[in-house]
Formats: sequence, structure tokens, C-alpha cells
Amino acid sequence: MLLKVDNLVKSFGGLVAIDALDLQVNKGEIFSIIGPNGAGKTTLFNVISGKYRPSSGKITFEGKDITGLKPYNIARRGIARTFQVTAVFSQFTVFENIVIGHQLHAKSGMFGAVFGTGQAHKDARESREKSEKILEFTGLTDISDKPIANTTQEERKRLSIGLALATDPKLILLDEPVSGVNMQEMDGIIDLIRKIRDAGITVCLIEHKMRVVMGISDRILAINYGKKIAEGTVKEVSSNQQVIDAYLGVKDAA
Amino acid sequence: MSMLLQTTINGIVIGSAFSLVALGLTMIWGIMHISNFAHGSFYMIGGYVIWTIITLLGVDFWLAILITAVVMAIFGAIVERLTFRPAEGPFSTPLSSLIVSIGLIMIFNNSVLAIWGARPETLGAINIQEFHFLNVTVTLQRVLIVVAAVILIALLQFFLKRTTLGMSIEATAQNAESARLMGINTSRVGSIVFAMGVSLAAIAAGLMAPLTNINIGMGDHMTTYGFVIIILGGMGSIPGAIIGGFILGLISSLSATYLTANYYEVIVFGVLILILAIKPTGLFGAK
Amino acid sequence: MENLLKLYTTKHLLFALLIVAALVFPLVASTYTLRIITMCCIWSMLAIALNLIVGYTGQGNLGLGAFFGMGAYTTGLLMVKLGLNFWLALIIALALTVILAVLIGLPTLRTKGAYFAIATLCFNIIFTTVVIQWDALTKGQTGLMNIPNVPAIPLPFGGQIDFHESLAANYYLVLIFLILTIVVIYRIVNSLTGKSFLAVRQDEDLAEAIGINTFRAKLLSFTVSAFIAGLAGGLYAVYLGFIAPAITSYGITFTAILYVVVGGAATVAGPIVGSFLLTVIGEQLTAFGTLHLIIYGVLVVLSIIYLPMGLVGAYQMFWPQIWQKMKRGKVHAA
Repeated sequence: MLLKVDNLVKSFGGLVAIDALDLQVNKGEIFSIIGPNGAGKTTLFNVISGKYRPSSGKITFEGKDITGLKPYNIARRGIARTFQVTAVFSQFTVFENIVIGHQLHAKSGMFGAVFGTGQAHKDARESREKSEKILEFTGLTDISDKPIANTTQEERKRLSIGLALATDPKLILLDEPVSGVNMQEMDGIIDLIRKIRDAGITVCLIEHKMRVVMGISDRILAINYGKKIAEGTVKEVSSNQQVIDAYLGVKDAA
Repeated sequence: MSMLLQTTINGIVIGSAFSLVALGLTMIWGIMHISNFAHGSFYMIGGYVIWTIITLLGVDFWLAILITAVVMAIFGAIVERLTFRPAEGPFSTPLSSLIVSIGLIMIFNNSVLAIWGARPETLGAINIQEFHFLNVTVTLQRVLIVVAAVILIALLQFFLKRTTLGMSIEATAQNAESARLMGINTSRVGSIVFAMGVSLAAIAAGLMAPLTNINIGMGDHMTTYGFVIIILGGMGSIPGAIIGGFILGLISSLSATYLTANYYEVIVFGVLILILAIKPTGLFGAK
Repeated sequence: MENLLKLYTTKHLLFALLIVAALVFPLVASTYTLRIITMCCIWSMLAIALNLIVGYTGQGNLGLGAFFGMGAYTTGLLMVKLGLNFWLALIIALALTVILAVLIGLPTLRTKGAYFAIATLCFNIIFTTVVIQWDALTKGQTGLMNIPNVPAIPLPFGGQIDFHESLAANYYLVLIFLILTIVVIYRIVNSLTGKSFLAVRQDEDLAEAIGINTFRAKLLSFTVSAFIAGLAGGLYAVYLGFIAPAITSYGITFTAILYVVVGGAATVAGPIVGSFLLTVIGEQLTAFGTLHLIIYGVLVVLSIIYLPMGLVGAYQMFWPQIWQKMKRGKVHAA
């Protein structure tokens, strides 16, 4: 078990966004979180990644308590994330984005750069080499020098995933990785997600499109109003009556 | 006791001027997201305009205030159209409006110097009748400043809440995009708000003019005090600017009298930094 | 690759040429010109400092004037009151400036955007007030006079570099510190640390999500910026021999912002170009007498309207396109 969430509660003022939620993500799987709009999916990501402090409950990663740590600390522990509104550094090129994604592994700091120490050169070289690998992995090598303004939505989606991968995570949280792309591009990104899992990185994703979720997930968690409705394999969850009522049923009717 | 009362009254008088200045600043921020660091210079020009109208034309004080308000509103609208507006664009940053302000401060202060000279001007005796009570002396002008400020604030509230134009200003402040979709000409709203803000600052300067002299430096502190007030009150908040104005007036008056005359600015601005360190979005700020 | 190499060498050649020009400059320049250029170098350092925190890191620090003043006043006071020599005084002054920067950065950097700008502005006003009011120490509004020169540096083969007589010696001193500052800043902004400053400016949430401690990055940038401003201040004090409270005020910060934005924010050359250009234009305009600051103000407003990204920013944006067009034009002609 890689990530474990126990009895997690997050409330804003009087509004409970996540209500006594338990979940666990196993090493090497693709774990999907589904639920209607406003079910608390993104809030859950924000709590796990440290953007919000939980009101109560416990989050354990690799057996260590990470509850309430700052986002940068959580990233350094090995949890990377993407954002629902595709976030990349808009004034960097594609390549620069990936390079900055790897900077948390640099052993030298500002003074190393100022005095041009060997470690600083080594860090710079390593981050470049790592970035080239990531570009290759995410299929962005050809556009590596492009400014972000000249990239397509799909390329930015890939880049945001690449940026997260550049931190060398053990677990990657993807917030709606295929929203806003066409069918063909979607298949490409789904392949990329599988490739990430096959490379040994555990994937946890939020997605609306049932076809995607059912196709790639090893296990699924369904939530509504911040509460767990079901957790299990694709088959188990998709046959759960509550899930069908709350989510799938609406889709079928539509 | 009488000193405390006297100091409090003075604080309320200064606070009235602060409120009017901060009101304009906060409205300009709320609608246009401009940091108008030239606001104090508009205040200063307002002082010179009213002095000119009264001394050269021999007009009555209150009529002079009215004329100043109108003249400065037109002036503000023109300045906004010629400078802040064209500086907005795809490459503009939050610094752009600061740079425009710096340029305007140079232009305004040195134009005033060229036109009126470096010597401070005074209005002479206006409304100097005194009221005595509880060992406290208050001149009529001081009472009138507070009364005028309160009436203005009430009128402004009425304008914003009850008139079509006022409501379209409120709508633009809340969400410029949807205001535009509702058919509100947000560019025109911006000009009007800027003109109003400048006019309010000029009225404040006019009201205060009989109490002090009129000089080039009179606006410098108004800008910083204005920003301190709207930061405390939450940027863009109108009640925040009104309340914050009176609070700052009282703090500066009380600390200048009771704590230290030389270092009272250290206290005023130090308190602000402390408040922000504890509550990074201000006393009444969101989040 | 070949093009890249070409670009790389042209850039370095240009830099080398500029340095040579700067070195031989005192031989050809009049005393008046040399004085102005020395001041340009000091303002360049201040503008570079401002550019790091405001341009690269995106934090609108309006309190840099206080750090410039801290460097100037501490250096000056240590020399005048305690009789320390310049070098020792400068080192102590810079250490104190850094401590002050950390103490001010810790509370103010908790705020963001306009709130940070006003918090630092308030700090600057407090600092200037203290300098004015603490008469016994700082001589208040009168200013601190008779700050000694940099002690003469003996040369290995006899003779010495005398800072009392020679304007050129002072110019070289300031120039060396300016070049050092440029090299340091160049290395910082091209390092991963510099990129993380830029990342903070662009998207703080995303920067945190990829493991950047944004508060620490901001504090580092703020402190390095204050250090360079303090260095510029120390040089200012010893070069002019006289300092007044006005040089600690936020007006100094505003001047530096002007230089940075007109030159080009978040570029290495921008603040230097801005400082030199505006200082020289300002000097030329004095021919217009009382009107000169009005004209200067008009130029400032026009420049932000027509060149919002600054001269160097505009050059970097448009030059590749013009270059492409020229190359295409040549092909057509051939």
C-alpha cells in the first residue's frame, strides 16, 4: 500500500466537502476517483497534495504520516500532481518547464551557481538529461523549444503530465487528464497514462469520462457529497447500485 | 480628559479627509485594478484649484468646492483617457499603472511648481467661529468638514445603490466580464469612477484647505495613508475605506498626541505591517 | 547549433567590447561626464537589485530604498563615528542589511500582490522616519557629511591608487562592483534557482506542486536583492561623501522601478540600459530649466504606453522576427 487516507474530513466554514473518507492506493496500480460535479474530488486532491490542510483525519504515504505538510514537501516526498485547469509555466518553453520540474533534486543552491561549483554543473547537466528523457517519454521532443503560447491544448496536457513526472514521483495525481481534447488525442493520453503505470509509477486520477475510467483503471473509488459510495475493481464499482443511481444512472439516462 | 476629547475630534476631522481620499482610491482599484499612486497629487492640485477660485475669482467657499469638484472630475477623466487607459494592454503588468503614476507625479508636481511657485498659499479666515464645550474648542470649519464628508458618503451610497449608473458601477466591481455581457459599457464606467475618485480627493483637499496651507508636498502622505487604509479595509471595499479612514485618523491623531510626535508614523505603519503579518489579506479581507 | 554558437559568441564579443569601452572611458571623458556615468553605475546596481525581486520573482517590493539607505547610512556612520575604514565598514553594513532584510522579509512575504507592495512601502516610510528623527545618530535632515574616501590602495611596484584625488579611481571601483554584480546576477537567473524565481512569479501553486518552497525562494530573492541594494548604497555614501534621508525614501525605489521597466523587466541588460538611458536623458533635459521634469514625466508615460515590455524586452521579442524578415529579404534578392 502506497497511500492511505483515514477518516479524512475537510470543511470550509460550515460546508463539509470531504466527509470521513477512507481510501487506499496500492503500489503500481491505476486508481480512479469518480463522482458527480462538486462531489469533492478536486478537494481531495488538494488535501492530499497539501494545498489545503485537512480539518481532521490522517494521510499516510509509504507508511509515513504526511498530514498537513506543505505542498512542496509533499512533492519532495514523491507525490506529484496536475491541475484541472491545465497548469504549466506560460512564460517558459516546453523544455524549460520540464527542467524546472526536476529542480527539487538539485543538490546545489544559489551559491553553487554563483561560484560555478562542480555540483552546480552536475545538477544542471542531470536536469537537462532527465528532461530529455521526459520529453521523449511524453512525446514532446519535437516541440521542446516551443514557447507555451504556440502549443496546442493537447500538448499542454502532455506537458503538465511531463512536468509532474519530472519531479520523479512515486505517485502521480492527475486531475481530469483528458478534458478538453478530441477523441484521437484522448487515446494518446490514455496510452501515456498506461505507460506511466508500466514505468512503475502509481497513478491516481480524477475523470469524468466513464469510457476512460472503465478502460484503464485497476481500481475505482466512487464518492458523492464527499462520502465514499464504493471502492473496488471496475466490475465491483460499476455494478454497485448506489454508483449507478448517483452517477452512472444519470449518464445512461442522458 | 479635555485633551483626549480634543484629540479624538481632531482625529475624526482628519479621518473625514482620509475617508474621502481612500474612497476614491478603493473605487479606482475595485473597478480598474489600477494602483493610482498619483492620487495624492490630484489631492494637491485640488487644493491649488480651490485656492485659485477663491482668491482670484472671489467666489464663496462652498461654491468654490463645487466648482473644484466638477473641474477636477473632468480633469481626472481626461488624464485617465490619455494615460492609464492606453497603458492597459496585453503586455501591461501591475507595474504599468505604477509607472504611469510616477510619470504623472513628476508632471503634476512640476507643473504646479511652474504655475503657482514654491511658496505655500493660504486661504485666510474661513468659518473660524468657535464652539466651546467641556474645555474643548472646535472651529466651525472642522465641524463642517465632518458634516460635509458624512453627507458626501451618504450621497455616494445612495448613488451606488439606487441609481442605474451606480448599480452598473457595483456590477462592474463584482465581475467586469459578466457586467460587459449584461451590456454595461465598462470602459465608460472606468472613466466615471476615475473622475469620481479624483473629484473626491479634490473635495477633501478643499475641505481641509482652510485648516492648513496649500503646498506641493501636501499630497504625498495622502497617497500612502490612502493605500494603508484600503489595505486595512480590504482592497476595493467601500465600507472598509470609510471605516478605515476614520480609524487611521484616530490612530494618527492619538498616537501623535499621546505616544510620540516625531515617531507616530512609525507606529501607524508599524501597526499595519503587524496586522498584515498576522492577517495577510487585511482586517476585513477575504480568506 | 552553428547559429547558436554564432549568437553565443556575438553576445560575448559585445560584452567584452563594452567592458573595454568602460575601461578606457575615463581617458576620453570629461569630469562632468565621468561623474554622471559613475552615478549611472550605482543606479544600475540598484535597478539590478530591484529587478531580481520585482522582475524575476514578481514580488512588488516598494521598500528597496530602505535597504539602499541601510547600506549607505551604516557604511557612512561606521566610517564617520567609529573611524572604521571603508572595506570593514562595508562588510559590516552588508551583514546588517542582510539581517534587516530577513527580519522584514519574514513578516511581509506572508502577504501577496498589492498587500506586499504596501507592507514594504510602510516599512520604507518607517525606516526613513527613523533616519530623519534619530538626529543624534544620523544628523537628521541635515544629512551625514564628510564621509571619508576609500583608503588608498598601494600598488606592488610603488605608487598607489588614490581615491581622494582621482575621480577615475572611484569610477573604476564602482565599475568593478557593477561588473561583479552583473556576473553574479547572470549566473543566478540562468541557474535552477533563478528559474525557480521565475516559476514563483508565473504560478505559485504550480511551483509549490513541483517541490519549490516558494516562501523560501521569495525570501532568498528578497535578501539577495537587499544585499545588492545595500552594496550600491555603501558605494554611494563613500563616492559622494554626503548622504541625506531622501536617499532612503521610497522615491528611490520608484526611480529604480522606472529604470527597470523602461529598460526591460526580467532581463539582465534591462535595468542597466534603463538606468543609463534615463539618467543621461534626465541630464540632457536640464537644459529646459524648470520644464525638464515635466518633459521627463511625459517621456515616462509615453514609454510605458508604447514600450510596455521595455527596450530590452521589445528587442528580445521583435529582433528575431526582424532578423528572419531580413534574411528572407536577402534570399529573395539573391
